[in-house]
Amino acid sequence: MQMVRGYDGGLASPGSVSKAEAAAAEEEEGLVADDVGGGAPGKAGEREEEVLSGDGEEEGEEELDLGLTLGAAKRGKSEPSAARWGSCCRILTAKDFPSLSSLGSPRSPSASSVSSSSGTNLGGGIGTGVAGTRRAAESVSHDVGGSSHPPSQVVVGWPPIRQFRMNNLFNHSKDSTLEADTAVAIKRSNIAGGADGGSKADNGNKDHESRGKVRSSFFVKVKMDGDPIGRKVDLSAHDSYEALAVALELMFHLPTISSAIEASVHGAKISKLLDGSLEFALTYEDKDGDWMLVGDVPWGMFLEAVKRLRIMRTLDANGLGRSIHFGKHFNKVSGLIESDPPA
Amino acid sequence: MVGGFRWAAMFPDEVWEHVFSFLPADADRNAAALVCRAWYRIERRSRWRVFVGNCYAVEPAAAVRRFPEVRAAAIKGKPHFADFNLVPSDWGGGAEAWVEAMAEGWPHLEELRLKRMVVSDDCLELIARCFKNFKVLSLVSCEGFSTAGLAAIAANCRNLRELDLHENEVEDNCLHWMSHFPESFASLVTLNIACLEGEVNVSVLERLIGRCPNLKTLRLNHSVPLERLVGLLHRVPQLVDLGTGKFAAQHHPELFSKLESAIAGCKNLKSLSGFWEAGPTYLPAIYSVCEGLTSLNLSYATLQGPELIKLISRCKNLQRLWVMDLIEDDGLIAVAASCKLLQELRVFPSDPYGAAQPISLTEHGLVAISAGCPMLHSVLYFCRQMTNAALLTVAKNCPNFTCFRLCIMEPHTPDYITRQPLDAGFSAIVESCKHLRRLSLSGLLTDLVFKSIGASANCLEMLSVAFAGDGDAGLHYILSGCKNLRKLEIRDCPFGDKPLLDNAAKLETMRSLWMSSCSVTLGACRQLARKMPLLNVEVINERKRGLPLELQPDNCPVEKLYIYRTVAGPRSDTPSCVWILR
Repeated sequence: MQMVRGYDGGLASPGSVSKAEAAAAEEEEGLVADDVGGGAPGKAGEREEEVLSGDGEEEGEEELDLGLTLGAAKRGKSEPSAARWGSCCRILTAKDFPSLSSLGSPRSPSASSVSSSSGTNLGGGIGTGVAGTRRAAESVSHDVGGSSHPPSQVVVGWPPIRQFRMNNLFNHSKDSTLEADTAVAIKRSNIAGGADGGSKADNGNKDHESRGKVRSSFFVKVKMDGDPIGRKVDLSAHDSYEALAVALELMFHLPTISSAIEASVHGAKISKLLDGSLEFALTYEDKDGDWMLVGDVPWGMFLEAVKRLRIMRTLDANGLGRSIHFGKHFNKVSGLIESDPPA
Repeated sequence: MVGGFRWAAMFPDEVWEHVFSFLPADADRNAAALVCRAWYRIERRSRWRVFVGNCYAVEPAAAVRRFPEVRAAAIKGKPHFADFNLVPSDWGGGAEAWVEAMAEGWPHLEELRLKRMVVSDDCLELIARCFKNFKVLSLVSCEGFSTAGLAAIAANCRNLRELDLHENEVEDNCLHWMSHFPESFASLVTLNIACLEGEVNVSVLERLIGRCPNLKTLRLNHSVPLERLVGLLHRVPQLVDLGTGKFAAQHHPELFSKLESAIAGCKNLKSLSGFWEAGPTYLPAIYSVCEGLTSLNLSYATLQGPELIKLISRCKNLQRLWVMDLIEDDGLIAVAASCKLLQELRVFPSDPYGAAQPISLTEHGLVAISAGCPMLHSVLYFCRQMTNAALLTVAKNCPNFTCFRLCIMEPHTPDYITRQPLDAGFSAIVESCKHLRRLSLSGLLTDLVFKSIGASANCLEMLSVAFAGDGDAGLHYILSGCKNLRKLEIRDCPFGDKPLLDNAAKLETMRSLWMSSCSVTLGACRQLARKMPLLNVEVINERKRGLPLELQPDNCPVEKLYIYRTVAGPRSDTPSCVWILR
C-alpha cells in the first residue's frame, strides 16, 4: 500500500506544494457537503503533509488518512494568510483548538493529496471529509490521551453525535434569550473561574463575545436549486466569502475553477460563484427573512445575520434587485473586480 | 414435502392464525413459516406487522406480495453511521419505491415508521391520499420533506393518531401546515414536532390539541415560547409525555406561578423533554411533577450541576435519564443516591471538541451510577478519561447490561492511570454482561479486546468500533465469534482483506457490515462479491479519480465499504460515488 508518511517538522510554503498537488491530484469531490467537510483545519499540519507527499502524490493514497490535525491546530503559530486550507467545510476552525505545542509529531490530515486542481490546497477540508485515518506507528494521542487538557482532533463524524444534537449545542446559543445568555455566561465563568481567578465572572457582554469565539461550529443549511438534497455548511469554518464560495462549489460539484488561478494577494482562488460568471448565484436569508445576495456586508455582519443559504439560478437572483457582481466589500477585499457594482 | 398425512389440516386455518398471533417476535413467525407450505400460507396471510431492517434487503413489491394483510410497516434505510455524516448525502435510502409499492398492495396500511430514509413531499402526499385508514406516521432521522408535505398529511389523514417527527431535517416552507387539520379532526394521541425549526402557530396548535381528548404525547419545538406553554398545558391536562418549547424567559413571578400550576395540573405526566435553553429560573416550576416522572430528557439544556442535582434528586421514580455532562461526577453521585429505579442513562458532551475548560465528568460518575442503580441496563456515556479498574467495577456491578456504549472522546485514549489499553475493561464488560446486545467501544484497544468479544459476547447484535485494533486478527475474532451479530460498523481500524474473505459466510448471517477508513482493497471486495451472490458489496468512493472503479487495480484501497445481505440483487438507485460489485 502506501508508505506511511513520517512526521517531520518541516514546513513548506503552501505555494510550492500546491503546485505539486495540482499536478498530481484531481479535484476533490467536495465530500459530504455537510458539516463533515473534513476535519482539517490544520494549517501547519497540512503543510507538513504536503511536503512529504509533494512528489508522487498519487490519487490512490489517501484512503487511510484522516483529518487528524494534532499538529495542524497549533495555536499561536503564525499562519501565512495564504494558508486557507481549512477553509472548506469542516467541523472546526483552527482557532478553536487549544495549543498543541506539547505534541511531538503531529498527525497530519490526509486530504492534502486530494486537493483540487485549484491553486490553494483546499484538500484539507475535503479529503478528510472522505475519511481515512492514518494509524501512525507511534500514536501521538497516546501521549495526550490522559492529559487533563486533551487536544482537540478534528475527525469526521467524531465524536459520534447526531447532527440534530450538534446543531442544538451551537446554533441555538445564537438566538438565546437573556436567561440563556446569563446561564452560559455563568457556565463560562464557572469553568474559567479556576483558571483565571474569575476574571470572566462578570460582564455578560464579555462572555457573550468570548462565547461567540469559542463556539465551534455554526451550521447553516444550503440548498441549490434543482438539487433535492440539502446540505449543511459550517460557516465558522470559513473566514471569508471566497473561502465559503469555493467550499460550496466543491460541495455541489459546480464547474471547477480553471487552472488559471488569479494570483491574488492571498493566493485564494477566485470563486466563480461570487464573480457572477456562473449561472448560479449565492444568496442568503437574513434574520428578517429577506433573501440577499451574499457579499454585501462585511463577513462578520454576514455571520450575525445569516440564517440559511441558497444557490439560486441567476435568472432568479436578478430579481433581488442587485447585480450579480457582489457588494463593494467583496470587491475591496479581493481587489479583483475593478468596477464597483451598480448601486 | 411430506406426502400423505397433512397434519396442518387437522385444524382450520383460523385456528393456526390464532396460534400464530401469540408468537411475539417476527423471528418466531419466520420460523413457523418454514415448517410446511400450509403454515407458510397461513402465516403470511395473517401477518399484519412487518419490520424491514434494511430497505434494500428485499424488493418492496415482493414484501407487499408476500404479506398482503399488513397494517403496520417499519422500514430502515441508511446505515447507522449516516448519523455522523460518514455516508454521502446522496447514497440512497429513498422511500418512494416502498411507498409506491405499499400504496399499490397495502391500501389498508395504518402505520408507517421510517428511519434514516429520504422521504419526499411526494411520498407524504401519496401516503395522505392512498391509505384511507392511516393512523400512525413516525419519521426518525429522515430528510427530504417539508412542512408542505406535512400539510398534506394533516389535510387528508382523517384518522391520524400519531404524528411523530423525531430528529428529521424538515424544510420549512409552509408556515400554516397545522391549519390544514380540519376542524372536525380530533383523533390525535401523539404529536411530536420537536425537530421542526420554523415558527409554530401556537394559536392553531392550541385549538388543535384542545379538540383532541386522547392526546397523550405533545412535544413542541424550540420556537414555542414559555408563556404560550401555559395555555397549551391548560388544554391538555391529561398529557403523559410533554416536550417543552423554549424553557427560558425573562424572569416574571406571575409567569412562574402560572407555569407551575399549569404543570402541576398535568397529573399524569410521566415524561418530560425539550427544555431548550433552560436556565435555573423556571426549572423549579416542574418540581411538583418530579415524583411521578419515569423519563427525563435534559440533554438539550445547558443547566449546571447544582440545578440538575436539585431537580433530579426529586425524581425518585426515574427510569430513564438523558443529560449533559454538565451534571459532572457529583451530579451522577446524587442521581445514584436518589434514582434507584434508573434503567437507562445517557450522558452527552456539552463541549465535544474540548474547546472550553474540561468538565469534571469522569469514570467516577459512571462507577457511582453502576453501584447505586441496580436496575441499570442501558448506558451511553461520553467522557474524556477512563480506567480499566473503573470498567471492571462497572462490569461487576451491572451484569445485566443490554446496551453499553462508551465514547471516550479522544481516539486512542489509554487507561489514564496505568497507560494501558482498555482491553481488560471492555473484556470484563462482555464477560460479565451475558445479555449484552449492543456495544460501542472507544479508547486505546488492541486485538485482545476483540478476542474477548468474539468469545464471550454471545447475545451481541450490534457492535460499533472506532480507532481500535492492531490488525486483521481483531476483525477475525469478531466475525468468527459473536454468533448473534447482526450489525457491525467499523471506522478507522487497521482491518484488511483477509478476515473479510475468511469469514465471508458470516456476512450472510448479518444484516450489514460497514467499514470505513480501514485497510480493505478493491480486489478483496471483488472476490467477496463474486463469492457471495446474496450480498450487495457497495464500495463508496467519494473522491473522483481518473479511472472508473471497474478499471481500478485490485490493490486500490477502498474508502468506505457497505455490505449487506439481500434477496433483491443490486439496487438501481446508486449515486455516482457508489459501486455495487458483482
